[in-house]
Amino acid sequence: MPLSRRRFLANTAAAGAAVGAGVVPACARPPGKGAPRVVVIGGGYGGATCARYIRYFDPGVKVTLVEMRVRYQTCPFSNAVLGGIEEQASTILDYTALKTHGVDIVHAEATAIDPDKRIVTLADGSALPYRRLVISPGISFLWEHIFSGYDEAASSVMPHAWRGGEQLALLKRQLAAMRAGGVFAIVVPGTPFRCPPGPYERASLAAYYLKRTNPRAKILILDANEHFSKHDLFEEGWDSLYPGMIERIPISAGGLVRGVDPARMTLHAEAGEFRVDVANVIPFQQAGRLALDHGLADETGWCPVDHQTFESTLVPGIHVLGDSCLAGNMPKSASSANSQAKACSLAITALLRGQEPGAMFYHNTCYSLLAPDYGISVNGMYRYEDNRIKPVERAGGLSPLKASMEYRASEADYARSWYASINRDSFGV
Amino acid sequence: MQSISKVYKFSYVVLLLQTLAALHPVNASEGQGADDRYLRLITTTCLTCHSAGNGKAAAIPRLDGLSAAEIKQLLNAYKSDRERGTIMNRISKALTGAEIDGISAMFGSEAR
Repeated sequence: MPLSRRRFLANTAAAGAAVGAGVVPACARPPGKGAPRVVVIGGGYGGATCARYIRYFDPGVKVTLVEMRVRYQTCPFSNAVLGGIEEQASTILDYTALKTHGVDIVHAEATAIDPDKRIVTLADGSALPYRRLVISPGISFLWEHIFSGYDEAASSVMPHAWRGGEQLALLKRQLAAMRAGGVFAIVVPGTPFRCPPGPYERASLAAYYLKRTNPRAKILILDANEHFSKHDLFEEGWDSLYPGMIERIPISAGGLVRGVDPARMTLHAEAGEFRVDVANVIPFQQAGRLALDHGLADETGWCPVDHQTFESTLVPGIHVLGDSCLAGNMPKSASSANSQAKACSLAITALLRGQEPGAMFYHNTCYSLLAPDYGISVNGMYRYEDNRIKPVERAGGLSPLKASMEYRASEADYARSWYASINRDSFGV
Repeated sequence: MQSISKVYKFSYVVLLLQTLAALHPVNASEGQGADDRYLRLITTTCLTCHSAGNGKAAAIPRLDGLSAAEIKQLLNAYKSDRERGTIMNRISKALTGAEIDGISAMFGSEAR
């Protein structure tokens, strides 16, 4: 007898009332004296998940997570904040729940790494010895790269808003204060960058906001790329939700910006000069500063790693996760970082016991909202085959074009549910 | 909170997997041995989206109330498109029969 959807939901709703399940990582006994220690630097989705899941795969391993900030602003749902459909406060997490999973949290800056002696030094001079080190340092910006004149100072006028925080709040204030019928420009860097669909979700949710507050406003996307993630789905959605409001100039039509002039609010693109009212300039990107400073990045600016263990191919004993690493076709997303962290955790716990890391499985799911009741998704499934992360054929893919509004609304609900879930899975909240 | 020791009932899991392996020998062309750690890695993949399941996040349900048979039935229904969902149709197509059996058993052994 087929299991009906109603029964499925009734079942799982009942289960939701019960706290904690065995498959779900929960509180664990502390490891004994002499247990191996893994140090994880960087408490984003990659680092937090890795710290948590090393304790899940082997509670006999000590884990210390080193993260400067006490609070973490998520990039997922930052565009919903910009669009006025989510409060910024609800996108801020902390690390207290990870402690209940047996992770030691140290809020400090890691100032030095000695990969030969396997010691991390913190800003206060204290030393953290490790058997394995994991770093998940996110991204850093290539100031003045291609976008001449765009440096950190310029970002206080033309915010990037690509890591949440004050930059996101600034862009939101600028949008709210924009003159009636003004132009909001989004300058998109060349790939690879964090969150490939992010600029286009941003255009969508800014349009959602402006349609209500400033209906004659226009959104201009100046793009260093020809095609983009969920391209056809975004354009279909823009046509139906925001007709005539969003204009995109791809690189073939002169969308590449060569310089910015914050004083005159002007963007110099190959297609011409654009004087705009609000400019969101997202700079070209490379691996996080910590990775660059310790010789973990190659000539691409990103970190080559063994795809089975995420151990750097340049510095032994250091694993690199998330946006900073080169992980085949996996996009730079929270979901990819979460998945890579689980594979890395499994590999590290095996290596510490002298075992083979074994088979690996990875996954990415990215939702984008075009409106509160309009969601789209892309999904990738991967295995470790032929010494690399390889997409599974005939699996994964995009939401269908021309789907019903019920389908789009259900994916918007799933997007919100995904966000709560990945936060719980990664940070234990 | 319930202890994770339940997952660590190692001998039970080994026995279960030996039984599964006997029933569903992994096809060499599928390229993966359905060992315990690997199956646990796949179940953690499910948890990325299936961890919350309450309040505003209720749209994606938790899995811990379902039996092994129910999870297996659903995954196979999504994989064959008999059940029409959204991303689950795309995700389930990445799983082999042995993987579906293994992860269903792991979740199902936690069902109450």
